[in-house]
Amino acid sequence: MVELITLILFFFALYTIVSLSLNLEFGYGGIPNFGKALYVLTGAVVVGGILNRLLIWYFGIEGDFISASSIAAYKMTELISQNPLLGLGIFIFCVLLAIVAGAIVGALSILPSAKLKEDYLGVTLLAISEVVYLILFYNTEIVGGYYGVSTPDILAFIPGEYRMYAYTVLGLICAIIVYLFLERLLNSPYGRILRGHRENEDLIKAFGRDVMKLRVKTMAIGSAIAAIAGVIFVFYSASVVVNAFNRVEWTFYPFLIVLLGGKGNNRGVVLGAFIFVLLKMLIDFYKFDIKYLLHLPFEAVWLQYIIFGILALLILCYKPEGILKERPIFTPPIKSRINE
Amino acid sequence: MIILETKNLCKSFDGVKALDNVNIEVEKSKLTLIMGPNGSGKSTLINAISGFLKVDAGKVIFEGKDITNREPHEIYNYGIVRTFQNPEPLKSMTVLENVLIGRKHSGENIPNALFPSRWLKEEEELVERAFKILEFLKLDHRWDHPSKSLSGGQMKLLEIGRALITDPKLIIMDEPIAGVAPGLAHDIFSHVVQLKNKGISFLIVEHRLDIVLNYVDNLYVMFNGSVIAHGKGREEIEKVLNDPKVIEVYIGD
Repeated sequence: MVELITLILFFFALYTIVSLSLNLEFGYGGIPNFGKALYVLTGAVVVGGILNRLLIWYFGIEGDFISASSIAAYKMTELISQNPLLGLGIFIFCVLLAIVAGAIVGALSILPSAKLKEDYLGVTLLAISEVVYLILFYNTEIVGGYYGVSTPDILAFIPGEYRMYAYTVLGLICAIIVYLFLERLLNSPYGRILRGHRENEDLIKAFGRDVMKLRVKTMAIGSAIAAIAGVIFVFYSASVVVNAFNRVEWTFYPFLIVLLGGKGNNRGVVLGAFIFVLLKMLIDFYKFDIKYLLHLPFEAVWLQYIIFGILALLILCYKPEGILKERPIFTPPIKSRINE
Repeated sequence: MIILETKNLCKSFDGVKALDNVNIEVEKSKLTLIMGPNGSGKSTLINAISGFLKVDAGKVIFEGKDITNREPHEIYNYGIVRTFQNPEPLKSMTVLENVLIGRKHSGENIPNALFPSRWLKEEEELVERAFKILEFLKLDHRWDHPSKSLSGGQMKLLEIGRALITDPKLIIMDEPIAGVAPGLAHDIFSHVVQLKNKGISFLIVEHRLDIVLNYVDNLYVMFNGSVIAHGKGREEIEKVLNDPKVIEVYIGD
């Protein structure tokens, strides 16, 4: 039971980070980022593709990338188990690298689409994301593709039975930092202009704003944050398996969370992430019981997709504003007017 | 004094001339009206001036500077703002936010947004001014309502409010009183006249001539992409309105 709760909290942290970043882009900014999974994957590539290569080079390991990675990861894990600071140092290094890489990938991928209106923009981002995903999946040279690669366990200094808890705490700390960062960033004129962009980009243009710049900046920040989640997920699994970063898990589900919790409301999104992960885990846990109880005429694995698909439709039809409605941005001078 | 002029503006859509050598002049502190039947090129003209359409040939000169084919957000920097044909408030945002968003703000930049001390003072002044504008437009009692709760006429006023906070030199309005009850329509123009007297210039496209002609200083009549008549001052405007060419265009429509 404790394990299940820990698992729920760990994925709650991950989904909170990714969904909050999507809320920045989509909830506030109206950018339909159907390519969200790509930016989470960017974080994974930073660990599997960059960190692993650095380690292989450092240890001077010969041979093909995948087996060399296993040896490097093993050697590094050994070192970390003796030296906690090394593990945390590597984690922070990877997070910083992921922030930079995420920001660059985010900014670049919106460039060709920045002159397009909403629908085309979304499709373009989806296409870019899928192309990169497929390349990384079928090319085993970059991050191991469908074979996957091992990565070091950065918390190897913690005894095995507490490993899971430690990763959960790490994830939750990151989620809290991301939440506080975004709340501060968005309760400002920047948040206001983002909402303006969502409501009517022509109007924002007519009032002197460079819409392209605004989108590039917003995508850079959102993607940098999503990449952090990728890093945490990879270290937790101690491997990169590209198909763990598919569009259902990291694009569709974050959208569902944002819609469920409340577009443009960070607190709502956190709540949405919690409800979603709870539901996901329960379905995962009880799917076979549900199948036999209800005599479902399909495989139990499809249950999750079906339930979440229906949930998405129900929200869009009956409660498009989500559980917690968006609130106006109250900067301090505006707040003081309310109290008057 | 002329604040804006267009010189031989041309724009074609698939071979159809939407603007055919259009020359207009907008005087400072005056209300210039462009009239003409549907499809005569009025909206194309203001879209071209405000940067939403690129012209094929010709020039737009504002205060002596060539602003032809600049991006809309660059044109704003010269002191030109525009409203749209359909009132386009930022629907789910409050009335106050709709006005505030008109003006560029240093708190919109990153990383400034993260440090309220860098933009709080500016925000305070801006909120103060926004309230003054809302009082002037008699919308202040609704400042914290979502703008979608306003009536059509109030939305038009809100658009003016958003333009005002930018300290514009020229306000371009695309049908500011379309679909607005006559009482409120006159109200909108009495606001325009007050602002005009303070030195703001107006370029307006409007169909409801019965109302708007009471306030117009200069008039251009367009048809099939060309200016077919124009007049400056009351007398000339009367003449233009009685011009057989102009009457024919309207009856023909």
